Amino acid sequence: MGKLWIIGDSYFTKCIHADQRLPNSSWTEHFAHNIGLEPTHYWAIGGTSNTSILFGLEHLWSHPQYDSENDVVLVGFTATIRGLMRGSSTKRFDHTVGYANFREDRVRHTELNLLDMPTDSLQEDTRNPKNKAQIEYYDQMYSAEYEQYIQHMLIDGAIGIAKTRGMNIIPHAGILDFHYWNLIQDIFPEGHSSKDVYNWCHSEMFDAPSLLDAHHWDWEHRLNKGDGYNEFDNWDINNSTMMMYSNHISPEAAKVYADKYTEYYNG
Amino acid sequence: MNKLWIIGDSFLTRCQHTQTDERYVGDSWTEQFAKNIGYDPEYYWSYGSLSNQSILLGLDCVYDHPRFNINTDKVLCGFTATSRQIVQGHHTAPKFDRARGLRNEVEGSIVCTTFLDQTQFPMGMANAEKLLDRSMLTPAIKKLVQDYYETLYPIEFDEYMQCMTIDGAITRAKQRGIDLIAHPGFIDYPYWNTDQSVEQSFDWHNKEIFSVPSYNTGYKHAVEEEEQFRLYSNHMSPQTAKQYATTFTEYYNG
Repeated sequence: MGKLWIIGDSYFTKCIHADQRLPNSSWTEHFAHNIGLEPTHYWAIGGTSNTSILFGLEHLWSHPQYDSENDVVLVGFTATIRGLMRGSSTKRFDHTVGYANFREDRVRHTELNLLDMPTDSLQEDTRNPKNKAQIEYYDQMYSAEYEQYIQHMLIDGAIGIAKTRGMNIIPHAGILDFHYWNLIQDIFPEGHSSKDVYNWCHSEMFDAPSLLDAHHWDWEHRLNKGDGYNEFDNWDINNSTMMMYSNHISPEAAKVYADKYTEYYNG
Repeated sequence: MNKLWIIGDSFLTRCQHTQTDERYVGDSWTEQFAKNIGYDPEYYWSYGSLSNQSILLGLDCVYDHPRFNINTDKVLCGFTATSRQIVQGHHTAPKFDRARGLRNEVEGSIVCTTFLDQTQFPMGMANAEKLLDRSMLTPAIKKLVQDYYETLYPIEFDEYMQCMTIDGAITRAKQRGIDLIAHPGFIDYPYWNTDQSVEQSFDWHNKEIFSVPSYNTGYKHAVEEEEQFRLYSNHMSPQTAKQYATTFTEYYNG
């Protein structure tokens, strides 16, 4: 059986609920089975950045078990506010060692959301000079609009390279285009999607069913069950269905979404 | 006549003497190369000290330029040192918007910093700080630039990502139908990149850029290179430029 190599952020991981692993309950596992492939969660990490995801995609070529003839690669993108900074290791980043760069803290993930931390934790955090520099970097030096642009260009280019090299790749927009995480509406009031704003060569992923569909299914299901919580109108991160599951989607919604995505994929 | 659109750093600009300000019209290697292949040179996006990120913005924007004819024109795009970076510009400037093209830099929406670039010169940190003073950055941001590079900047990773971005952009340009002549420029000069050649720091798809004749081939001696670097805005005397243009044309014509 060929493999479905899975690369992406938390939405592309297996499902954990209340510290219990729920095998075959993620949408990625359902999708792999639907198309007759064995799911291989190769580089699926919560909180990861697009740059890390693309590093994973590039590194896959050198994986001894990757078979470009028979395997398929599902690569899901994430919010552009995530990036990478230098870690605490004295060892330098080396692309040949792959994920060890993160394990050994040669580089580490960062997120623009750090700026939104409550005042107390921000003060706590700024005691560490590195964190202080990081916050100041985002505050003063980081051009969110430019970074968003260059990340989209990077993603589009990497998809192009993968295709021309002969990789059977399924790009997925993931949360790249989620309205509360991207800046498109702030920058371009008339633009609703990154697809409309940048000159994409490989924009097909924006036409696929969005992961928002899975959230909406969960929200509607919960509303219909009648526990009094309406996530459509009053979304609260601490009480959200999204936070109950490590990959943010209930097993039921995952199955529904996977079937819908399979239908799209099969054309 | 069809156009050769030129994008890159100082090496891809016209030639001017840095001390006498004399302009050497038609004597840069890019003008001579354009002439050799029967094209009209169009200096679209070529400025001293540009970063790769800016060069890639130019390559992305040329596609939409009203005078760019994708069926008949060519694009010569030369890359530069990975040590140059883009940071946020003035808070009062309009926000970065791809559609504003080069105005993003002219109006200070984004600013190129050559801080890291300069630290790699023999003159070292003092010169880097001096150059930083001349930049468009505010004193507070200058301090942050320094702190950032000293504590947070993952130099090898950034180089790796820049290579991936460039490689992807070349692929994108080709897929869009642009007749692209990609030139490595300064990207692989030993004193400007990290420990090893960028050819090895990424698994390049468009490896052919590393077979392009290096600028070094134009200079007879290292001392001549240093002198010309200083005396000419595009770092080549008209004679050296002619020789390099001939070598590059021979390479291009295969």
